[in-house]
Amino acid sequence: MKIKILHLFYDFLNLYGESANTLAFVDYFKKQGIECELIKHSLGEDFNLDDIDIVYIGSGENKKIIQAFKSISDKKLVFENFIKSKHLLITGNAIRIFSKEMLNICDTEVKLLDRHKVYESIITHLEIKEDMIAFYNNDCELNTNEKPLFKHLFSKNKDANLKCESFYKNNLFATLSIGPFYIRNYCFLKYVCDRVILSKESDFVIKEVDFNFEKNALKTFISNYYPNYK
Amino acid sequence: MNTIIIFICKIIALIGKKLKRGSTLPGFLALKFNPNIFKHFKLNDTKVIVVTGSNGKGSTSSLICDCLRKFGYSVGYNDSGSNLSFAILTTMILNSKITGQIKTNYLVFELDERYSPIVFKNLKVDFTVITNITRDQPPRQGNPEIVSEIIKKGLNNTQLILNADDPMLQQFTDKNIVHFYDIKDDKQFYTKNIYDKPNIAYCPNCYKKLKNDYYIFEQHGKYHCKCGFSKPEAELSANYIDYDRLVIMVENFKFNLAYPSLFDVNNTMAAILCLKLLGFELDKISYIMNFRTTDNKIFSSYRLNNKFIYTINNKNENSASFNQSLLLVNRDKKEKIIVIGWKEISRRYEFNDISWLYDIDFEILKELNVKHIYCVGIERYDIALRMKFAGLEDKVKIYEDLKCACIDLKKDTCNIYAILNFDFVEDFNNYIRREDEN
Repeated sequence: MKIKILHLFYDFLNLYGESANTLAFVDYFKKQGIECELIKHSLGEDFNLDDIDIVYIGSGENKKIIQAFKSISDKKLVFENFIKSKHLLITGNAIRIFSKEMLNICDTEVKLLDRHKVYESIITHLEIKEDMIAFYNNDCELNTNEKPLFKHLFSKNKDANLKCESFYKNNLFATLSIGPFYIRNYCFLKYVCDRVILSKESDFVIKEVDFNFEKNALKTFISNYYPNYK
Repeated sequence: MNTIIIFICKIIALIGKKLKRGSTLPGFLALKFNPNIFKHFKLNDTKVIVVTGSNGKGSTSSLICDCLRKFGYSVGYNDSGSNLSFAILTTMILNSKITGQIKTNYLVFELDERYSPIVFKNLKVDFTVITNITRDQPPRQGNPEIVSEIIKKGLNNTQLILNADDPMLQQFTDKNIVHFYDIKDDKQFYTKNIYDKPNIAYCPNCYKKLKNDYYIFEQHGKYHCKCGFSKPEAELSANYIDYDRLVIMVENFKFNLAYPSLFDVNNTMAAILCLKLLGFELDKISYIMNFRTTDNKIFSSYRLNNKFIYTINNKNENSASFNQSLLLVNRDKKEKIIVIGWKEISRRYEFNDISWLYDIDFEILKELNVKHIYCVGIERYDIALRMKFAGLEDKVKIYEDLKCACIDLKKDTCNIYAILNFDFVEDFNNYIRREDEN
């Protein structure tokens, strides 16, 4: 089995260290003994999603989001078909590209704000039920009719949106959270990667992966900053 | 009325000085009393220099101020540590008569990028240095585009001093007279880009990927695009850089550096060009700058037993700053230990965003003969995790307590590079030098 990951606009939409998310996928697949190829796509390059298993796209400055959209504005149907069987993972304001105002793949409106909303939340996924951390730093907020991807548990900040700023549609998973989301939230990384593996080979035996650093980082973070949130 | 406000604020400043508190309170109150009070001040022959940007504002502005004072001129400078608009106003209050007449020959301001529009709107600024625009304090600044737009909105009738090697700064050249400095020491150039996460990889005009004949650091270097966007010619160049002797050569003159970093080369060049534009000759600037000493607050090095300890005061949440520190470490080819840590990510706000760790190219450390990486402090596991994804997992040692880390560090014989946030620097130097803990 070989898994191919396409990091769309890797050096154009590259705010907040989000390129690290693709490192997390590659690392997990390698630890499963699966050959993995990471394709880094630049603005202006054409791409073919036929043999791609995961597309990842991250946050960018607003002018760059618009430019990125323009460069793939003819690919609405391609992405709509893609997410029926393959995974499209979106973090931060890259959601705009797939929202009603742009590619219109999701029933989601993205409202631009005149300031940045910055906050941190403890969230969870309904199937995984583990604590996860989301950090938001966006000048937009979502109004979506798609199903929520995560459930908000707690935030200290008044800017926190209790609707959790995330959604999914088929295999499109979107969160307004920024940064190395899949590195910090190893349980969700595992969830997504296992879905990808089993969608390609349903009888693949998933190996246990050592998430020692990730577990300690998450546990220490929550105990330091949210000791009593439960 | 404005005269009374200035008089009251001067009294407050005097009281504050005695109590060693409230250094920017006078400006804060003056703005409360009259939001337009900036316009009351009369500059006459006083020249105003502003230094803003993501890195090096304090170093560059203090160097300019220091040189002007050594030349025998009076300078008003906001050296209280605050660089917001009320700090600027406090400086003006302290250096004016109660009529608002500025008393000094020069005003030099270190200015926070986000407050630049207020200052430019209200003051005639003769020269503005923009040191750089980079990813910096994301929870506060958002992203470089936001910071750039704020500065651009404010720039008004000033002459800019910019680094020609940095393509990010070319966005400011539209409506202003611009003076450029650059680096022309080809020993600093390299052709294969080692930085994977640049602030700018594309032409800002046509969005094609920029080409580089050479790089100096991150996206800095000789860049060009088919549309015509390219590195401009510089008025002043550093032709030779010697980090061991802490000197640069500009034309045929030698200038001292405060610490062995490319940032300080750029800060020094900006200051030299600013002073030259103010009318000072290079030979005289060189003479004055040769009294410059190492800035121990930012960088210190000392021998301990048979090894050298290098302490780098490194700003958190700023990947360019960290990449600069790694560049410094890169010059040492011997086996070394690196220490990374902090007490808190930022003292300005409660957010504990660690995303900036992944904007730093720690992958460079794989080639640098590193024995161990000590990950210290409250986010030690997040630092360790970053090292894991940089391919350095086997080098990691994790410590909650800096003191314990230093006890183990002293047992090793390698040189040590401690890349620390300011809140760990003093403690680190104290613990590592302590004789009784072995």
